[in-house]
Amino acid sequence: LDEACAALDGEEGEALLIAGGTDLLPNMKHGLFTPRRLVSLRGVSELREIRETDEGGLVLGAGVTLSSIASHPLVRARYGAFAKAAGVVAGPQIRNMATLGGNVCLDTRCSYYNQTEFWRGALGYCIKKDGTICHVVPKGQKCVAAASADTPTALLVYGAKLRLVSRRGERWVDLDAFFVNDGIRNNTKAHDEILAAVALPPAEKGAFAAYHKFSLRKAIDFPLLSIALAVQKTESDKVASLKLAVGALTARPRLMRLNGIALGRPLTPDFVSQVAEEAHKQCHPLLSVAIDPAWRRDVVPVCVRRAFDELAPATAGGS
Amino acid sequence: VRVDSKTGVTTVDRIWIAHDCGKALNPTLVEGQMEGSAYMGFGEALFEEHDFYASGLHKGPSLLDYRMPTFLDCPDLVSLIVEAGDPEGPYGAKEVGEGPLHPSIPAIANAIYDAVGVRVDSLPFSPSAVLRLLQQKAQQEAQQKAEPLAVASGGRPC
Repeated sequence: LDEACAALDGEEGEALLIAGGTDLLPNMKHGLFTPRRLVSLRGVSELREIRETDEGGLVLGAGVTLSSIASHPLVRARYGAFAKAAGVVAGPQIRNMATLGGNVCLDTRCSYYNQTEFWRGALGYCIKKDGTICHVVPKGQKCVAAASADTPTALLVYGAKLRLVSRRGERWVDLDAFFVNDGIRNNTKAHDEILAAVALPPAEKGAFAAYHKFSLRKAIDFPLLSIALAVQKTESDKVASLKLAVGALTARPRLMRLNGIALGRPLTPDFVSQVAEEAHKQCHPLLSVAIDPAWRRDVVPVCVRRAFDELAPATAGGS
Repeated sequence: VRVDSKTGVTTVDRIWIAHDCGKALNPTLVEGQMEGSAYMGFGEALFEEHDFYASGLHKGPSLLDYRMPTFLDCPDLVSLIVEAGDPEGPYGAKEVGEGPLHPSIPAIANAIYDAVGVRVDSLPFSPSAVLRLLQQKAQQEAQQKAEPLAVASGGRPC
């Protein structure tokens, strides 16, 4: 890892990291990234470790593949929504190559951006790459390319933390603080930093979670909307806390503001409806995906309800 | 088919294909052709879309944006070869190729009507199009309920 950090040092973004390459290589073919040098992380074995912490949490190296996460007994038992999210990315071959770090750092996507150089050039390019205008929001000064990765949405509701390493040292950052709402670059990782690990806090008794991906195709399709949900229940089966994250709509996956939802109640249909309506209010899909935004907004509360239906308890098993 | 009335998503579970190919010279190949054609029609019915931006650029210029059904989306396909030999054809054969392609599109449209009572009349039968039709239908039904007399007097005959 030190060697990889040294290779990035002083390159000022001219060198890019490559792990699975499933996002980077298509983007390079489209002329979206034009690095002078690639630094491969495949030989860094410490990035592929999964270990339990003394407190009962889990630390996953950023180089762990999505297929190993999806099938890992401990991840499945304690962080089921995260395992599910990792298991619904693209298709099996891609999940065998793609890594957790790559998925967390996935470049934002837009129907005007993820196209060939030729196609983009025909429109005079766009604000995210090579151009000055936004084709989604005419006169828009802000890039609205959307965070389209599956795992970050799920990791958000588990309160994950990231370990970033560079020659300057290392830092831990909350996943929520790692992302920023800017389509051009939606995270705060510096060019010389390497995302080394993702840490998950211990799963508590009474914890339930779900991940619901909504896409047109059942495979090889980015989400049109993704919903992650975590519910902490008390011993008397009341909702002690609730976290709802939404992905694929804005430049970053984001936690819904649910201050208006009174907790301490059982998980009744009425409670679920309130949360679904609140999410509907806060979600405004854009044409960054060339699929009817009004319809995508209509399905927000439906998907939230389904995520509640799919809630599954975290179990102690797996080790 | 199954239609999700909340999202408009249509799932095709199974397609039965009967095709008169004349004498089936190689029945396995004939079945393969029939399944392939029905799959092609199914993809056109539910997924594939040639739509353009005002600029004239195609909205689905790649195999990621121009969605063709994957293995997981594909229905079970059941082929029934109908052999009615053609004396004019080579060894009694007719054709097997695109025959089952076109009928699978109206068949799926009819199945959607049978399932939820809405007529889809433009391709593809996307979830957003189906949901809009379902919402319109619900609205009309609510209106008819609210004004039963208007329907009785001014309703369309039959």
